Amino acid sequence: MEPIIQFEHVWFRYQVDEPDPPWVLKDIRLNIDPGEYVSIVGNNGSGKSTLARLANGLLLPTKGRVMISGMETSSEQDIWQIRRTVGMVFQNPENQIVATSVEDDIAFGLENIGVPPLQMEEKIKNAVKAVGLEGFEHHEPHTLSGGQKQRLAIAGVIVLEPDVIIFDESTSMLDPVGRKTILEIMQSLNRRGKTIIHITHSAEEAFMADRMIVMHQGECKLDEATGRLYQEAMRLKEWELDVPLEIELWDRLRQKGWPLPDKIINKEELVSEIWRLLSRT
Amino acid sequence: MEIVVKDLSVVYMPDTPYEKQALSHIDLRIESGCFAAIAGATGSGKSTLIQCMAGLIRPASGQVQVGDKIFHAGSKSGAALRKHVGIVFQYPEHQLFEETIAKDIAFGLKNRGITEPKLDREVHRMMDLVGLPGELSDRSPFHLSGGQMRRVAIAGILALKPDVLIMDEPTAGLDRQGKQELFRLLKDLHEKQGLTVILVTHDMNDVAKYADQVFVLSGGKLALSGTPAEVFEQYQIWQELSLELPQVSQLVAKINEQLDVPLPYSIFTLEELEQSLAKRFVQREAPT
Repeated sequence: MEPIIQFEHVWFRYQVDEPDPPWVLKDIRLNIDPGEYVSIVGNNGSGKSTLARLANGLLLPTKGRVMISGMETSSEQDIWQIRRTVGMVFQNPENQIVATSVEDDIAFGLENIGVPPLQMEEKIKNAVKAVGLEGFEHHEPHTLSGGQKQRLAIAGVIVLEPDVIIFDESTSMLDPVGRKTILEIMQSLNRRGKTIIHITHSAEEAFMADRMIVMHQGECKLDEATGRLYQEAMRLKEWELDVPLEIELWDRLRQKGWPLPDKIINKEELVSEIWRLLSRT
Repeated sequence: MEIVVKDLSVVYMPDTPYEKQALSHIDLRIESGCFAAIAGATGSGKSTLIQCMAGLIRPASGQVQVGDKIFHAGSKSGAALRKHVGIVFQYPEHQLFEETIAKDIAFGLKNRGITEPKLDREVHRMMDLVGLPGELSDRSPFHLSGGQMRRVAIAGILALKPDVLIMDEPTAGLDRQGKQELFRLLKDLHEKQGLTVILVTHDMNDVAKYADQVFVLSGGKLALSGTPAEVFEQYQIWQELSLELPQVSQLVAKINEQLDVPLPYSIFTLEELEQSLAKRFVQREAPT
């Protein structure tokens, strides 16, 4: 299977009026297959958002190349196809809304790519349904909550039927309820075959993906299936990242001499191990 | 400085079809020098409440008392409260506007009639207080990191020497490091400067870590109040309000699903959970 996203020795730095600007990304090699659910974690300044912008041609590599479904992002004739392949949902829902009603806002992208009005209706209906905004079609976006606005932004992206959707810290400005719905939407889009890339600060959210990439100071430090990553998750602290709570507990109990297995694959497993040990006593 | 809220109600757009009761009959007391948290879902009335405390929104009935200053429906203005209460709103970095960091911090001071050389001295004192290197003073605030921009905004508020500092979602959008640094600053201000700090948040993990007193709003009413242990213990009520408990409490709930004698819900830190589990676990295999 051909990877849907390929980074081949990608280096990137911003062009500024300085003699030798620092590298924001250093020698990134990365393949993402169609249908994967990948999280990218890293602190501010780690290069993770730059990475996302390179993946749909908003930025172009200084060195190396980025390929999307076999098309190179630096190719002017392919760039529009690339942007339709890779959709992006950003951090602040306020900045992504353009029209005066939910329906019009979703239609905006369709109009841009010249979809005939008759076909629009069906597509908009599906997009509205996918994000659970039924009944809000005629509402004015500014009356929506933060979470609903972010769902609208997602609808505006998925209506264009991209294969890949990148969520760039799209949950960080939302309250717990809003965050939960967005995470559920990501999971359901992934189940329906979309490639999902979720850029986040939150360890808890990152571990929902199947694969996790850790960025630190422009370098890819770790690229691992989350199931396997569990046992070495304490390492995340090396890069100033959060460790999921259950892993922290597992580590502490083991240090206290609890006979816990030396690897666990998820929270459920830890909880059942605790049950087992407590019921034996 | 103590804040006492008595039977406070606020109605938006009264006598119109859009009339909305934002707060109904709130009674609460925030002790002087305390680190309080106001929690609740979006739309629960948190922002309205803090704006009343700062004299920015007028009560429809009831009153807010800050120190000896009282603000009620008939007050001429909330200006008396504003002298004592500083609010740092959500994403305060969006409200920076001056060309340099020093000018931005000086803005409020100038409005209060402070002039050079005192102005410059104060600005540098504030930069030092919030941990911004003095040499940044002539730089544009817009070239700073998110966490640093937020410090500039906080410095501008602290310069006005409030007795009470209210922070609305101060760590939203910051990474782990930025978050930790900001909380360290808040704790410092609270402990060393004796500021009464009020944190508005929906992140219960932060509440669990930092607050002495917690007030939980729901639908414009005070649903719960007390110490974090007292408040988080009310597991049933949290579920009814569909609010998110701290991660540790959620883990406790999960572990309790199959324990005959459940762990107490007053546990909300990892240390307590670890100790409580250790007590139950009689070790059969000697640790190696």
